[in-house]
Amino acid sequence: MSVLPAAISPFFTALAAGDDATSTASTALTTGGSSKPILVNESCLEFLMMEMVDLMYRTTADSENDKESVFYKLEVLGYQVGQSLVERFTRDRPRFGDTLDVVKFICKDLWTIIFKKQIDNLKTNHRGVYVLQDNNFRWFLRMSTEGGGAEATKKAVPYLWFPCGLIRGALANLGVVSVVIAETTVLPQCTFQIKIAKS
Amino acid sequence: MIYSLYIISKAGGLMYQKDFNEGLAHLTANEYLVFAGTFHGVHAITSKISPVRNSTSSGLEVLEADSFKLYCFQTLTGTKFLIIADPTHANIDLVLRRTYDVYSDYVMKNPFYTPEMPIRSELFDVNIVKLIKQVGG
Repeated sequence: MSVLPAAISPFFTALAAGDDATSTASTALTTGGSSKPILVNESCLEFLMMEMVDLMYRTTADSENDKESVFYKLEVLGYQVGQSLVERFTRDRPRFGDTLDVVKFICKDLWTIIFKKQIDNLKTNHRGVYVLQDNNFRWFLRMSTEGGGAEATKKAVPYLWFPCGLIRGALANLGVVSVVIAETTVLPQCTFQIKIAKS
Repeated sequence: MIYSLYIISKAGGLMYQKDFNEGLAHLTANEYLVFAGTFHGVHAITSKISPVRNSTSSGLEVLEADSFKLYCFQTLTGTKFLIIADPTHANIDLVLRRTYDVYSDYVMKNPFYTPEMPIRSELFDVNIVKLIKQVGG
């Protein structure tokens, strides 16, 4: 189980432009002194992400009634990957002023690294609840069923659990403890709700 | 003018069929399946009877008749894309390649799709129709 986050992080780092990360799972993330970035084929990552959700369903006993287990596995996987990602990508940044800055970093920089676009809409009630809305979620762009609409939306929800964990892990490693829930009303739009724990 | 598109799996089963313009006889669903299976068999035979010695034949690629032209593109994975168009339509090869692009984007990357099964995806339909309209079908 712990091999998988180590395998996934290099994919994300290599997608960031101008990064000199290697694409092998076992070696360190930076090779000092290499001039050209080694890039990873994006289709590989897409297929890996698709298969990851299927894998969790396959390896859970009685996965029909035990959605909690599948959610937990995907979320924890995302948590570890999120932690590693922020470790890597906040290296040259100045310190964060407050929690809002951290959330903005996730909306802009982290989302651009992973999904090549920023969060479209950020709302907050200034009391520890943030709502992030992505109107064109990259992983939903190819998902479609025959009827479209509600059926596709229901089947797409498990694919949001990994990004939930990603956000929670990123926040946690930057010092913010939170709970993240995701929902989608119509593909390809999705919303992530972050609840910051009171300190 | 492009009349219709067929996608046949590597086992010979019909995965997708769509008519874009009137001009071909209307078949029942069963007849479409029979057509796909027959074509799969004929294609296999034609790839073995090339008269040129020691050549690897690609199998049937174009079938020309008075009132239509049938183009077949077989991918390296064994999936066949067929387009039936009127004899004057040019560049069908390009259209087949772009259909393959749409297929690999909206079918292969769709996690709700099981490989080798009939294609039931709204996004795929929408994009195929858009492509065919764009190339003047």
